[in-house]
Amino acid sequence: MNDIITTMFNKTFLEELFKPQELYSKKALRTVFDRLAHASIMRLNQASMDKLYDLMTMAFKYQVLLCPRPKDILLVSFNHMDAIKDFVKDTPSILSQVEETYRQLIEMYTPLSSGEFQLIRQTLLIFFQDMHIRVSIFLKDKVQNSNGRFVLPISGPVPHGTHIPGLIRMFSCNGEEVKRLQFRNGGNYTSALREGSFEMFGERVIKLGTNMYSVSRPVETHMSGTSKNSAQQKSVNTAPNPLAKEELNMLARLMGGLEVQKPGNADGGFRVNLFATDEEEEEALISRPDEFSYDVIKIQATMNQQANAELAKIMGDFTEEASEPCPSSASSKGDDLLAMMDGL
Amino acid sequence: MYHKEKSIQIKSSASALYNNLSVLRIAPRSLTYFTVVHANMVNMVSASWDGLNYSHRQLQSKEANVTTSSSLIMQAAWCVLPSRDILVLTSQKGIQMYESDGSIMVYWHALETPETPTAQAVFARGIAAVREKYICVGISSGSMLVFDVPSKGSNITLSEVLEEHKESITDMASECSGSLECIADMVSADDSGNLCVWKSGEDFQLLNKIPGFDMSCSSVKLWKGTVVAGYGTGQIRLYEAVTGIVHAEVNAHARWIYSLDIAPFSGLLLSAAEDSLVRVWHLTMTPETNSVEIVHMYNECVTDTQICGAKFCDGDGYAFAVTGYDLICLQQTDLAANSSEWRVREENLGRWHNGKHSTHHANRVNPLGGNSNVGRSYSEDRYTALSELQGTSPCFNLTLPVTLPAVHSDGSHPTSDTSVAKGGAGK
Repeated sequence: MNDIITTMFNKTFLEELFKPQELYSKKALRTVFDRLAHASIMRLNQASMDKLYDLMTMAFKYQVLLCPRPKDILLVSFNHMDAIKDFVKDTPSILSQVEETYRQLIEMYTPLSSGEFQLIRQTLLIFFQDMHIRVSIFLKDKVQNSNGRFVLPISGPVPHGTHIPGLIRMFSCNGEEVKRLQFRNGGNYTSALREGSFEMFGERVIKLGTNMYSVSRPVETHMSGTSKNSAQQKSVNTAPNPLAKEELNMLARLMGGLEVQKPGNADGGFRVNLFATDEEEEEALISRPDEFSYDVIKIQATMNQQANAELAKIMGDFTEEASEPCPSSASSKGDDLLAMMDGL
Repeated sequence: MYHKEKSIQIKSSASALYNNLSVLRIAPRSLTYFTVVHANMVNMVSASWDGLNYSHRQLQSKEANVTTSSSLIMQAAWCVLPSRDILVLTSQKGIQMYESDGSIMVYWHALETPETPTAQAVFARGIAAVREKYICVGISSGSMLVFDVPSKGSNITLSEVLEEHKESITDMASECSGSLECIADMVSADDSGNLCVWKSGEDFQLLNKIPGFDMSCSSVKLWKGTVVAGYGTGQIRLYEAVTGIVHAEVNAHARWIYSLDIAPFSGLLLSAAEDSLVRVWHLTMTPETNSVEIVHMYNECVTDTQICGAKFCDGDGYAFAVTGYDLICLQQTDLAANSSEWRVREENLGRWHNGKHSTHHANRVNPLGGNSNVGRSYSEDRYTALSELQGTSPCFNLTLPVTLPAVHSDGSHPTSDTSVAKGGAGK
């Protein structure tokens, strides 16, 4: 876990991410994802990686689509960040990187207006357009229909700043209210919840971006068209875990059956069966902050030279840092990212 | 009151963009065109009124010196001018104008884009045809470009740049009642909710600025001197354009409003939002007391869809079409043959135009009752048929056997019509 988080929060990588840039093409994002996933000793075959990626994208699409207000995508990112911070709270070097990232997120994004956030959200939605892969945990929880489309409830709390629909007020020229009418809104709405915190610490209120698996449930994985061997599924090995530990478990399962000793984390006995626990694997990747892939507003939805160049540049940056001796054995792949990782 | 009719397939799904549906009725050819934006492309469907023929066309965004562009299109809309209809596309790179069927591009205006991307996005958004000869387009910087359009040909020129807004333009609208007596010709809206009201001319004149409340106004309409604005909070507000007086405030939707439309001849208002709901309202004006009232008429839920475009298909609001994010079709909804829920307050239009006929308009019957002669520039055929059917009921109760929109110009009904509400025996 530390490997992946360290890679994600690498200073140069982040600098690159925080620059104004176009939306990554699908291919570019997938490449970055692959590199990140392989930054640790975890190895995934093509099919597993595909599934992991699909699940990650659908979960992220869900979060972006269902945000009550566009500004809430920042709160979702903070949920991700909070979970990551909890993973690395005992490793000061990585923790400080994470905290620095919080500061950058706050500095860059909190001044944006609602309209600018909506533009970011609309741009992200272009990336996810037409993706309707069914995710079993979403199907089970009834947040996704069998046709792959997400359920948009017409009930529940209205977003912060919005009134429950139903009231018409009419005014005279002097500004006095002269008439009120009510209409049926066709839904079942309740008042808005309080606003979440946009600070480094604080209750985010919104649940999107938190661990989908915090309620342990028998996991049966099947992607559309494939069947899984559910006999291989392992229930999540957890105490009543806080969300972060749950995600840690998920990630560990990615690592192919290895036990990872984490100081301060009493959980042991990680098991991996990639196919049985796809969704859980996804969780770790879901925790990757969405803001990191996309920056403010500049958008370009297709693969082109520019995206390639940026990607190459990012990868190139990693290579340049490979100068220190590697403390851990890591792989012998000679992966740029890995080499950089080793230097941390 | 309304009855969900049919789905019209489009080639690719709609993107989540404000006002992402544009409709153009071509009465002489019994066709309606629809456009829906998908990322860097515009899907155009031409639908015959008998529901039997559909044809598709796709237009791409353009970039200087590049054959295929990936620049995202923010909006596509028809601009109806007296002598021609122009299809305008606004994208990250510039503004494209086409003849109405999308066959020929007649004009291209490139935006200045910086060499390296900056934090401030660059794009054009917000399209309006104003009076006889102007097309106005908004820019992400807040500027607005005014183009002078000749009655034919491609000699379109940039006439003026209006610098009043400081935030990105979201939408623009021109006075759609057809009345020449309205002082205000156009309203523009931006990301902070500020509205600017303009009078057109050689030099556009700013008549009024209505402050926003730091909430983006994503869709705006101007009808009989009243601004109708839809906001990200889900509220709709009605203002008097030249004074900024608030006529009404409606807690209309539970999510961000993406589209508003007005049927100018009936005063029907259509609103659609990310909350999956389309709502129909009715506006009535009382010029004597300078008041505007709004009542709610109808709801339609497009299940599990964040709606991004909703437009009436005709000037009276007999039918409307809707599209949403990830939806690969348009849903068209027509007025039901037996709708006992429809009760429209009458004579509003009559009062407004009483004794003050605009030279724009011919004598026609207002199907919503009243005795006004309100002009229409298209749909003569349908109205002739309707007036024959209407009888003398003072309040237009739409239980008439109305077949829409497939009424032939001689008033006869097609013998087999599977696509629209059948009259008489009901559906």
